[in-house]
Amino acid sequence: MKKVTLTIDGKKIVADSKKTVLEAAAENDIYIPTMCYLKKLNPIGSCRVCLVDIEGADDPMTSCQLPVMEGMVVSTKSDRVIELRQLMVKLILVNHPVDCTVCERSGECRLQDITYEFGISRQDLKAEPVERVKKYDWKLIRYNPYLCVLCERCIMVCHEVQGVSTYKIKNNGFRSVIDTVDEKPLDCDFCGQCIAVCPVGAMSSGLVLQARSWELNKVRSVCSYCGVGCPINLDVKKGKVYRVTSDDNIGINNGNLCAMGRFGYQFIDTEDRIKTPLIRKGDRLVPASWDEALKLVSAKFKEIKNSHGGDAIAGIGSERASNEDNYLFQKFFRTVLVSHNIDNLLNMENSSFGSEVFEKFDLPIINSTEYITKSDIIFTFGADACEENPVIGNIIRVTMRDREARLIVGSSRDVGFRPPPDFRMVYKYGTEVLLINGIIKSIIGSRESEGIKEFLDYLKGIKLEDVSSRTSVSKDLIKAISLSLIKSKSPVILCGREIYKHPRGVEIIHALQNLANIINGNIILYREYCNSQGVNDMGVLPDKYPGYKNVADLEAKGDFEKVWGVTLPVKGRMTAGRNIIDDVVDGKIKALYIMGEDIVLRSHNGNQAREALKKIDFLIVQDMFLSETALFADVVFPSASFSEREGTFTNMEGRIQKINKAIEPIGESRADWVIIKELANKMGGSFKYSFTEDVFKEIAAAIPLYGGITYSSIKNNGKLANYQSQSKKKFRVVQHSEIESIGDSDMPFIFLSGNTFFHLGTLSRKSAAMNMLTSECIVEINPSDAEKLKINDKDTVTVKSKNGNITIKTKVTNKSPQGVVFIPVNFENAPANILTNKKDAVIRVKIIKNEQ
Amino acid sequence: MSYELNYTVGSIPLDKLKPKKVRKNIELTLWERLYIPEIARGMIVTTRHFIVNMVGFIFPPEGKKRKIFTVYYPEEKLTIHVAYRGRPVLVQREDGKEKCIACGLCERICPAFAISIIGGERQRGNDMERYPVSYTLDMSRCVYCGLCEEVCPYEAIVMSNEYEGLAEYDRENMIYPKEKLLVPVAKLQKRIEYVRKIYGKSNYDLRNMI
Repeated sequence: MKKVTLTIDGKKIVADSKKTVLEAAAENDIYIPTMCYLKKLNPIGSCRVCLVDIEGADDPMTSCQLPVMEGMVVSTKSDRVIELRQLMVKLILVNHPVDCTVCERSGECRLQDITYEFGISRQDLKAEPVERVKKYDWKLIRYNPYLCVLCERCIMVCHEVQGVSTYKIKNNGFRSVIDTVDEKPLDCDFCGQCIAVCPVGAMSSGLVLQARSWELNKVRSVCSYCGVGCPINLDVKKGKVYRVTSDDNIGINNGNLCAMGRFGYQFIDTEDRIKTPLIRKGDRLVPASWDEALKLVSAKFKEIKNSHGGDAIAGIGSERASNEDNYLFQKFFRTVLVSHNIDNLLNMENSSFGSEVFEKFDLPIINSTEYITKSDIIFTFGADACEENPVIGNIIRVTMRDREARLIVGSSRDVGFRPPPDFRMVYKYGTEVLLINGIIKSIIGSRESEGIKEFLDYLKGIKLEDVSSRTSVSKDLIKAISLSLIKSKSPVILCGREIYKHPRGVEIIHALQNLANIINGNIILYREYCNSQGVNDMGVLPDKYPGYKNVADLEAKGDFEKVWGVTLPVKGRMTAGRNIIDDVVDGKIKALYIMGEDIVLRSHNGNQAREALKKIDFLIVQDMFLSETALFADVVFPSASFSEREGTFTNMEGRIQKINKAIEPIGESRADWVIIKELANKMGGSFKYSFTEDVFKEIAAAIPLYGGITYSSIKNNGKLANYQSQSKKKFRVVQHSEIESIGDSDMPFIFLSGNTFFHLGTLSRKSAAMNMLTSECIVEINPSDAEKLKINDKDTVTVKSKNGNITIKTKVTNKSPQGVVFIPVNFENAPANILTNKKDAVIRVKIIKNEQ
Repeated sequence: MSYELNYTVGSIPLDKLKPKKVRKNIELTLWERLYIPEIARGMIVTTRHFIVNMVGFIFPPEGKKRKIFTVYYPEEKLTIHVAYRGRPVLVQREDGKEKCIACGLCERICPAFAISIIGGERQRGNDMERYPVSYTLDMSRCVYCGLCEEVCPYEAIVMSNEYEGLAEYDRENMIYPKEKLLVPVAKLQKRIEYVRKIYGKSNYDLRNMI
C-alpha cells in the first residue's frame, strides 16, 4: 500500500494513503476529540467535533472524513479550532435538555464527556423550544427526540452493519428527528445496535435500565445462545444482571449483538427457575434438600448398576453446558458407572456432524470466521445468515461493504439477505446434490481442471437442462453463479442448520467439498448452540473418548486409564445404529440422566421421546427450568445459569472462550460440574476438583486438541483449539439420490423446520422480552398456496402429518416457496417435532383451516 | 449565567454574618502556667453563676415566673429546630407518589452505603417518568450526615425532625422500605425551604445550569 508523510502537531507521521487524518493521528497517540465517529462505521461527519486546521486551507475540516495527503500539515490544537469545537458542542447543547439525572446514559454519555472536556460551563446561545414526540411504541427500543444530537450513528449502524436500514431523518433543519422509514412503529430485527452506538440517551432500551451506569460492574462472559459465541459484558449490580453490552474490537462480533444476545438475558432471574432439587412423590415433584436428592440418585444408580450393569444407565450431555460440565459428565459415566452409554442430541441426530466431523470430511469444516472477512465471494448454502446467526450476517455484510464481496444465497426457502444478495437461488428441497453438481459441471465446462477421472466422467453425464428442471433453479442463474465463482480469489462457503439437519447432509457437504476444491474455497459450518462443538470435543459420545479417540482403540483406552486411574469398559454402545432414545423404548435402559437438554422439544421425533420418557424407570433431569422433559423426571437437579458460574464454551470456529461468574447462583442451584462431582464422590469415585480451573487443567492434559491452553491464558479473544485436520484435495463422486417422503397422497406440502429470530432453545422462551417480540409459533406458507386453501394471514390452522398434528397460526410470506411450509422449532406449545418421526425422510403435511 | 447570593442563614442575612475571632497558638504566661490562680478564677465564675441562679430561682425578679430548665422526656418534648437532622425521609407528592426520580446520586454519595435504589418508569400524563421501584434505606448504617439531602436535585429526600422509634431489637427491622420512608410534602415544607436556603437550591434550575 502507498505510504504518505504528513505532519500533525509538528510530529512527522508516515501513514497508509487510504487512512484518514483521524486514524493516522490515533495510530500515533495524537488525540482528536470525536463524537459521531465510530470505528466500525464509515465516517459520518455530522458532529463536527473532530475539526482540525490544515495549513493552506481557509476553513477547518473534519478529520474523520479527511484522507491523508502527502506533505499535509495538520494542527489539532489551534485556538480557532478549539473555539469552533466548543461552539459546535454548544450548538448541540442548545437543543439538548440537561436531564442527566433521569437519563439512562448519564455517566457513559459522550456529550457529557465532551462538555466536561471542553470546559463548557455557560451557554450563551438560546433557541425556541420545539414540540417533539417521544416514541414509546417501538417495542424494545425507545427514542427520545429531545435528547437526540442527530449524529446519525443509529442510521448508519442499522444500514451498514445490520442491513435493516429502518431509520431516516425526518424533517429538516431545526426540526429534524429520527424516524422509521415508513413512519410506522418500528418493526425490525431489534438487535439494539442503535442503542449501543447512541452517544447520548436518545435511543434507549425498552427494558428500562433500573440501575445507573456508574454502579454497574461489567463482567466479561460469552453469550449462551447460538454457536457464534459473541463475547458479552454482563452489567451487574448487587447480584442482579441489569443489561448486556458488548465491546467493540473484541472477539468475533466486534460489539454487534443480536436481539437474543442483547435483550434475552431475562431468563437468568425469573420466577420459573428451579431453586431447589425436586423429588417425585406420587405424581408431584416436591422440593428436597441436596443431600436427600443426591443420596436417592446414588442409591438408585448403585442398585441398577448391580442388577443390570452400568450399561443400563444412559446419559445425554448438553450443547448448552460448558466444556467442564460435559467432560465430567462423560468421566462420571465412564469411570464411575463403567458405561459408554452417553450421547448428545447433535450426535444422535447425525453422527457425521458430531463424532465423525473430523474424519468424514476431507476438508476441515470447523473454520475460523476470519475466512469470511478475507473473502471476496461468500456462498451461503442452506443457511439463513440473517435469522439463524444474525452476527454472522453482520460479518458478511461488513465484508460486503469493506471488500465489495459478492454474496450468493442458496436455500430451499427464499431466505434472501439484506442488502439483497447478488445471486439468490431457491432450489427444491432434496435436490441440493444435483444443484451443486450442476454448478461444478458449469465451472468445469468453461475451464480446464484437475481431478480424478472418475469424477470427471461422472460430471459428463450431468446435463444442465436436467439439473435446472429438477431443482427449479434456472440454467442462466447456475451459469452466472459459476462464472462469478470462477473469478473469485478466496471464496467461502457457509453451511447452515438446514444442511446438518438434512437427510443427505453428508452428501451435500461432500459435493460442496468438490466445489471448494475446484474454486479453492473454504467451508464453514454453523453450529446451533453455544457449545455444540465443545460437547463433541469433550467426548460425550458413545463411541469416542474425549478428543475423538475411538472407544475400540485399546491404546486410547490405556491412555485414559492412566489419566483417570480406573479400568474402562471395552464394550462400546449397546446397539449399533440405534440411539439412546431407541434403547429406552426397547426397555434396555433403566435409568436416564439428562443434563441441560429438553429432549422432548429437540428430538427429531417428539412422540417417541415422550413415549421413552414415560417408559423409563428412573429419570434425572438437570436443568434451570421445569422443561417438558423435566416434568417426566423422578429427580430434578437445579443447575446454575451461565452467569452464575465459571467455565469455557467452544464456539463454531473451535474458539475456546471463558464465561465468568457474575452473580451468585439463584436459590440452591449449583454449577453442573459441581453436581456431577458430588454425585460421583457419593458413588465412590474420587473427583477432586475445587475450581473450574482444575477441571480445565485435566481437559488440557487429556485432550490434545486443547493441549497447551491454560485456563488463565484464555483472554478476551479466546483461544483456538488445535484441530489438526489437514485439507486433502480429494474428489468424491457424489450422486443424487431420492429421499423417501412420508405422507399420504393428500398431503401436498413439504415440511421444513428451523430457527427464526428471537427464539433459540429453551432459554429465549423464558425471556419476557423475546416472548413479547414473538409469542406464538407460526407456520409460513406461500401466498399462492394460501390463496388456494383460502387462508389469510394470522388464521388458525391445523398442520397434519402422518405422525401427528399441531394447531398454529399462519403467516403468509414469500419466504416459503410454493409447496413448502416452514414451522420454527423451540415453541413448546406447538412442538414441530410432533409432525416428524424419521430423520432420513421428507415429511409431507396438509393444512386444514380451523373453523372459528 | 451567574446567580446572586441572596439567601440567609436563620434570620441573619448572609452579608451581615461576621466570622468569629479565634485565638490560635496561645503561649501561656507564667501566671497562667501556675494553674492555681486560673482554677480559682474559674471557680469564682462558676460560684457566681450558681448563686445568681439560685437567688433568681428562689426570689424571681418582678414580672417573671419561676422557670424549670429540665425537660421531662418522654412526657415533655423539645421543640426541634428546623436545622435538626432527624431520620431521612422521602417526600411524597400531593398525588401520593414519591417525588424521587431514582437518579442514584444519594446512593452514590452515601458514605455509609445505606441507600439502595432500583429504578423504573411509569406513566405520568402522556409522558413517562422515572421513579424508584424500590428504595431501601438501611437505618442501621445511616450516619445522619445529610449528604443525601444536599445532593438531591429534586428535593425528594430530606432530613426530618423525627428521632424517635429508630432503635430496634432486630437489624432486619432497621432496613426501611420505600413505604416506610414516605412522608407527605405538607409536613416537610419547612425543612424543604430551609434546605433551599442553606444549599442555595432556590436557584437550582436544571435547565439554566449550562
